[in-house]
Amino acid sequence: MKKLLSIVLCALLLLTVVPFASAEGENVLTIAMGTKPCLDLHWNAGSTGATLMNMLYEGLYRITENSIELAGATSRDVSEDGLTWTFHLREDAKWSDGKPVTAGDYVYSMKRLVDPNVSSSYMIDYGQYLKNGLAISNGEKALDELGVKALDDFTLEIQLEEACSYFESMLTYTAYFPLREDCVGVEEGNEAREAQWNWAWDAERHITNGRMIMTSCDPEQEIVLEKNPNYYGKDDVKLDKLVVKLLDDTNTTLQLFETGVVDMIDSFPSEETERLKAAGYYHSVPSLYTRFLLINNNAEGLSDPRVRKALSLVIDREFVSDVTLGGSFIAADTYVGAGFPGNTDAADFHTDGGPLFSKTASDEDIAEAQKLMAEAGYPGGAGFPLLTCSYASSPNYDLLFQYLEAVWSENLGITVKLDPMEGATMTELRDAGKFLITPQGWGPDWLDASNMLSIFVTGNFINAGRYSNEKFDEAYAKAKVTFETEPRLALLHEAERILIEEDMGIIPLYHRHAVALYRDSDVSNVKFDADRKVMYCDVVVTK
Amino acid sequence: MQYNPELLKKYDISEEDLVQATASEKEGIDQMRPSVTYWKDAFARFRRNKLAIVMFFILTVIILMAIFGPIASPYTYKGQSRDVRQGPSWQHWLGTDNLGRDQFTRLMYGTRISLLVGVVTMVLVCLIGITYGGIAAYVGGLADNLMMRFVDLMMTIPSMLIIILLSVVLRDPLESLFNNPTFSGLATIGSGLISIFLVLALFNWLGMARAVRASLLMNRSQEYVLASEAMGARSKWVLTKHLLPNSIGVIIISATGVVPGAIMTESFLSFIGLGVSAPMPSLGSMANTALNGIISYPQNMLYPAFLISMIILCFNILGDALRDALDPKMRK
Repeated sequence: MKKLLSIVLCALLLLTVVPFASAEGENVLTIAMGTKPCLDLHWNAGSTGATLMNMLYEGLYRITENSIELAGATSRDVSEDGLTWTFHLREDAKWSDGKPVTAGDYVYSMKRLVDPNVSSSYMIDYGQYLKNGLAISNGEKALDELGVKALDDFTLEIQLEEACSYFESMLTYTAYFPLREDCVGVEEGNEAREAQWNWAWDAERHITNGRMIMTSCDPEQEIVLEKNPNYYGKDDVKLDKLVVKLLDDTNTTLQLFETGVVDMIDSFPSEETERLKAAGYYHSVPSLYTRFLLINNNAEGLSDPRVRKALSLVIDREFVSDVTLGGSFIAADTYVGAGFPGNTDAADFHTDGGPLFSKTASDEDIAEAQKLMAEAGYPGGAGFPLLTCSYASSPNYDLLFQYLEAVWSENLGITVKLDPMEGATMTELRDAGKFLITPQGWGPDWLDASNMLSIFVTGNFINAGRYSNEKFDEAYAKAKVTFETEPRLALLHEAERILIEEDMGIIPLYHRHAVALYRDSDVSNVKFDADRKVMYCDVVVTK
Repeated sequence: MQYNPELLKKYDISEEDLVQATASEKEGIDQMRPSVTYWKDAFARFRRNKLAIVMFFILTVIILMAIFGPIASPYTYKGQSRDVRQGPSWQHWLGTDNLGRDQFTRLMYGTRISLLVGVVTMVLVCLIGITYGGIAAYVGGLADNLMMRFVDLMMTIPSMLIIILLSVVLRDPLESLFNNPTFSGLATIGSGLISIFLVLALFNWLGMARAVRASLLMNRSQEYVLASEAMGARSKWVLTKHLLPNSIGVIIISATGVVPGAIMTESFLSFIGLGVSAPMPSLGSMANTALNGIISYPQNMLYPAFLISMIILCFNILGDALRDALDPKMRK
């Protein structure tokens, strides 16, 4: 009896080890991401949530490998003044429960985007493009006055506050995707911020219209997406099932990849880069993301552009990105990185504009920096207030700031203090503007250089260093209403030049690589879209 | 032979009653064990413990390296260079880290911090623990009862949680305190480190207080203390000549027990990023940094981990050996 029992127990134990085999011939990909990705269209600000929602939902436009194209609509008409956009929706688009996607679902979504009772402060930036959007967000106008209307079930009319040259690109952002009113439900009486988007983690309740549907979701453990049987173009979706393991520790993520539990990952400890490149697992394209230092533009000392330029001049960005951080980053020489649409198809925004500062720090640069410090009244750093760098503790930031501490104190003679802290505390301090220098990053929500620059317009939520220059604001505002490509981009270049070359209102450091780590023998047809996100729906698993 | 007339008079003995010992009687005395003091005795017993001697030498080497190593090294803990992530070489004995800093030098600085935390905590624990336990044992009665219940109460608090909380909370007040010119000297040590000293001392003195009180109470009820008191010894005499010397063994053992615990806690705090502030290394923070590239550069994790283990092992074995050596009942 005892023997039998032990055999049964052993068998049970073994069962937990053997993964449940998937059906024959199914194309199942297993990936890993950070825990608790926000799946509410109007609360998410993170990239993992956006990646999943791009598969779960489909908006008016979608991002393709090289550009954008109409998705949920078959055609669009724009009025002469550029203020009224009419979209003719495709009639074969269906929600996961079989109901058709109607213009009303878009209207509900965009009303929710500007609803002062719902949206996060981040969303105001998107809602303000719609007519009366900002006034509604500020509680000055009623929700019904929003300039978005359903002319009939399949015709959607969007009126803009003012003409916007990049509105089509913006429509690829998840905040403008349609949403079913009957599946949204905010937990009553729960004060926690998270209660606002808890409903989206309920796989049974969440109704979507994208290429994939969510079949199970445990926001701390695992999310499973499966091909949407109601999707009009389901035959073009190669992936049958996507299993997303959720973990925060990049070391564990890498372990799961190395042991074959996970087929593909996009983040891992940067120090392992060299080894992973040598093993042939590392596949990357330069991403559109820029990492920069936010500088408190009102603080004593730092309010002087000469000081900010001096701080920037002594940083050897090539050394930091190629050596210190293990080669998974690209040194910046402007703020807007490579990959944004330029004047012609061949060129991009970055190559059109050319570099604004040097990637390295030569002896002349250092001498120049010292001269600037002296001109600003701090010769050899004398009299400069203690420079505290606040950042959320992470291996890469720890290294970066120890490097910065060394170059700033050695070359400029100023005293630098490092103040690493827990992530949530840092976010709070940053949003309140209580810092001197802190790292920040930005990847565009729409595929246009305007998005990179829009966040530094006076008063923007992300612009926590309170950079403000009328000339910059003016150039940006002009670009927004200029529809011709060349003069529009010229204005954006001018704005970038003011932000960086004249003011150094922020200090750009490096751009990220979009990375996919996978074995060529297991996974094929991995492509990055124009936004540098892996196109998971096209992946073929050959394991 | 001259006798002390005062003593003779005090004990009422006449000079005639005293008889010189014969040679054979003297021989009998010579055959007894040679007179040894408590410390000599203890040292002899300690020396017989081979493992403890080895550990003692290893620890001495580590301590000497931590004190004098950084002075002798051509590198500093924060000096960066372009030679990053190198393997061991003659220039850099244990290679360099991600910022081109010499690993060996940083390890010596890290050891210095770890040992400093251990020793300072031990001193603070001794101060608080001996005073508290001594008062409790000496005053006795209701006060003793209340004081010991307070210790019991403190022991029920999950210390690691409070240590983490305190080291976060203490930072800001300490920082503003150091901005005051009177305490500017302390600022060079860093608020992170000082808050670690404080929180570690705050939660480690409990065992010491208990041990000291128990030892004092036990010795106080011994016959020789009774005899001494019967002969009119004052409480100061009893305390300094009998009770404290007889408790010294207990104190030393408790103190050596505190050191590894403190070093471990500091390493843990630094590992989760609450310890000393970068770029100053501690063994824990070095291990934390190494975790990032543990598959490609496992040696960077091994060095600090090995040192932490070695220091703690040394202190534990030495503490064990000292307990055996300082306990007279272990005499063979």
